[in-house]
Amino acid sequence: MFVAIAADANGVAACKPFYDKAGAKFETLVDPTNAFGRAMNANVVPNGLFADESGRIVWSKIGGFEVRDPKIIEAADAFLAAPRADLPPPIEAPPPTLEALRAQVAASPRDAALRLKLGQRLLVEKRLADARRELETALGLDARNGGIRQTLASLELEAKRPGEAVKHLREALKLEPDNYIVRKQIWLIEHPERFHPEIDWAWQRDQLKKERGG
Amino acid sequence: MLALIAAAALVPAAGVLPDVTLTTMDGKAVRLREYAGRKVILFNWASW
Repeated sequence: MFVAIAADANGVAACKPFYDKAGAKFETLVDPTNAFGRAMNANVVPNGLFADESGRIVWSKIGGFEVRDPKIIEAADAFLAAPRADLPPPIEAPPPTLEALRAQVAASPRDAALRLKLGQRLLVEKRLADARRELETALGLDARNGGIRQTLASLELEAKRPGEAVKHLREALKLEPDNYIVRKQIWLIEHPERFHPEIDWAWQRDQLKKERGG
Repeated sequence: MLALIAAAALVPAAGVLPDVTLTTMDGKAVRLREYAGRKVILFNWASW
């Protein structure tokens, strides 16, 4: 099966027009906190990953994955059509209950990564006040974690506070100057006219040069 | 198939589907690992 994952701090509302315009018939998920990108160590998009029936990622291309490239389409068709391999059982996935996550945090209250995970889950469920509490606690434990900043930015966008979101994204960019997902999120918030109705690629190139001091 | 993969510049990867919870277009939470059990092509993109 084919699954698209859209990275956009503005969430479903920002992605849906593109999804509708494309008439997408495939599953599309939204990753407002860039949790997927971070897990894959990707600081750019587009990326492609082929995962087998056991949930094991067997092939990938991080950055520059052109989904319309005939070679990619052919490789994807061949991968999907190949006979099922003799594989270990699929990844065991215990029920992802909030209670289970809360219990993990209670057992390890100083684990910022766990609190980030709980905060991301609360944010997906639109429990903004609870998410904010977890994420701010996580940030207090690990101030150099760009993922916490990026998730807080997504929370602020959800709360309709774009100025606060940009503050968090700028802090994230200080920590990760090569993270183009963070950089572009800032541009998108501050210069929406450069992205809609058409993406102004020339402006992006100039902006990057300017920000890079060149 | 390996020749096709090479031509498409995909590289061998390690690891498993990350344990992340994402949102469907109708706002429901879905755990990526729920897709295990099927072959999956994941395309990670952005509108910008």
